[in-house]
Amino acid sequence: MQESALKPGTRVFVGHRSELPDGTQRIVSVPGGEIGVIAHGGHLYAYRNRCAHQGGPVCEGMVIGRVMAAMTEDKKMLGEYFSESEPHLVCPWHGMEFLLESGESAVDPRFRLHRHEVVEDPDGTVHVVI
Amino acid sequence: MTETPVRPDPTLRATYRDVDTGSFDTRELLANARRQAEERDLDRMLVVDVDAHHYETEAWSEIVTYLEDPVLQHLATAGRHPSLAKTSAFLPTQISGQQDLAGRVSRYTRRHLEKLDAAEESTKSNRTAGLARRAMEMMSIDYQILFPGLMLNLGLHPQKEFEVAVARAYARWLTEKVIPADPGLRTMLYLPFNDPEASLELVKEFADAPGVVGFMVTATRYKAVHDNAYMPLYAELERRGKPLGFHAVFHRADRSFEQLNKFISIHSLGFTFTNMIHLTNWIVNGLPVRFPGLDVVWIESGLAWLPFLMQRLDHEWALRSSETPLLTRAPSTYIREMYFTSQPLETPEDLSILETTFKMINAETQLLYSSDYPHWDFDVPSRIYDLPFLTDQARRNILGLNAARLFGLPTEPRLDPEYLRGGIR
Repeated sequence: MQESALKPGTRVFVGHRSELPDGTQRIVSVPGGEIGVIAHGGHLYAYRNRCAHQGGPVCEGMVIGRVMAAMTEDKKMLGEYFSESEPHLVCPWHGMEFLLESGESAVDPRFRLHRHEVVEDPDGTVHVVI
Repeated sequence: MTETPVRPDPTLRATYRDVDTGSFDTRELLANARRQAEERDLDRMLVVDVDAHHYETEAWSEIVTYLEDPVLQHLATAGRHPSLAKTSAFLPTQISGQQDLAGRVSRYTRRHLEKLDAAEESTKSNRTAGLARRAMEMMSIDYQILFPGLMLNLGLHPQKEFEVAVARAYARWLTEKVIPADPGLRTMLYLPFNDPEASLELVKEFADAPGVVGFMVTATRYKAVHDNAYMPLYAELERRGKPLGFHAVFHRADRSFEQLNKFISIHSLGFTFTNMIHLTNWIVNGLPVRFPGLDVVWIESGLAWLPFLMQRLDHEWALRSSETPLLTRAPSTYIREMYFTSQPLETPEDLSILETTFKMINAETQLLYSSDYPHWDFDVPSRIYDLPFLTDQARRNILGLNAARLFGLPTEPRLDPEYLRGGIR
């Protein structure tokens, strides 16, 4: 496919929803690069597979909960734990963490992943939108 | 957004793959580095990586066969299968298992899964060279200076004869087996710095070996660089025109660092502090004046420590020049004549901070691109290429030409762009 063959808004086939159980990270080749589709918590998320930091294959990285600090009321540290409501997508090049739900960096607003819309048809066919 | 078709056009069925955590291939991990290189035409530009790493521990069973002392060789292999040759008697260890950010940086835990071709898998040294080759080709690096890993703390070994023995075995193994296996590989050989005479002998023996472009002192050690015992070593390096590098590292056994509980803390401070000590001694004791023809390179400390140290030393020197009788000008002016590797290049939100740092250290002629690959905080060449305040000439200098001038490397790219774009094997 040539770059010019795909206009913005074009749908690219990903697979059938049944092929994408939680934990699946499917990398779809498109002209000019790749889009990663990540199945987590019953949802599908899609981002350009190029990290906003140095360009690493961010969609191939670990999905893991945000690390939280637990303190007592008088501010003594008790320990750390994983958030169950804030999954992070971690770029495997440098470990930079992004909010899986939005693609924003967990800490640095200068870095944000390029998000793609995921379309699931009634028959279960899944596409991403360029 | 334009109108989307209700039914997908079958011609738009893209190819896909599912992420497989049970395999590993440098070419897949660094595929985006290759894309970056092609987008910037880096394949037609000289790129020299002045600091990359291999894992000598993965080839330890081969390295110990070069130990010349039969007692030490026995220690390395006694009662064990050669493939289990132990490193722990030789290489000081520490709690450092957090390099990989608890598995978040995938190459640490998966690198052992990588398969090379048969020739490259035939020996540990060939595998070492083969893995470096793949990384170089993906990042469009023409020449790469390889440094070891755990050996960076060998200077803390309580028996200096061990440091000497390992340094010699490593030098022979690297120059006889690894460097000749790929035309892009170079080394600044590890000096057993706790033994000044042995360091001098190592320089004399290996300075002309293929691929040896300089020598390296690891920064975690407690013998000051201005000790008179080192003057013959510096004179020999100066006479031979071989640069001396100081590779930063940290060690938790240093009592100053015992309070630093997190890896982020000790890595941030340790990799700068250890080089600060040596650079301060180097300047204050007038070594640039005593050896004006000896080039020194400060490796893997980033750049932000330099504006601090330049200002601090200049300020104190103006008041305390009586303590620095050899210096005829401000400390920062000597620092501006030294060389620095770029990684880990800081990322200030206000880029004028980085631009000022570049001006302060004469980056256009003194800064050397380095990747530090495959370590967790590596920098791809595009980090330098994309800096908006660099002229095209400054960019070319930092990415390769400064290193070519310093180390006597060719100034033309070595890798063939057609091969690189045709799919790296």
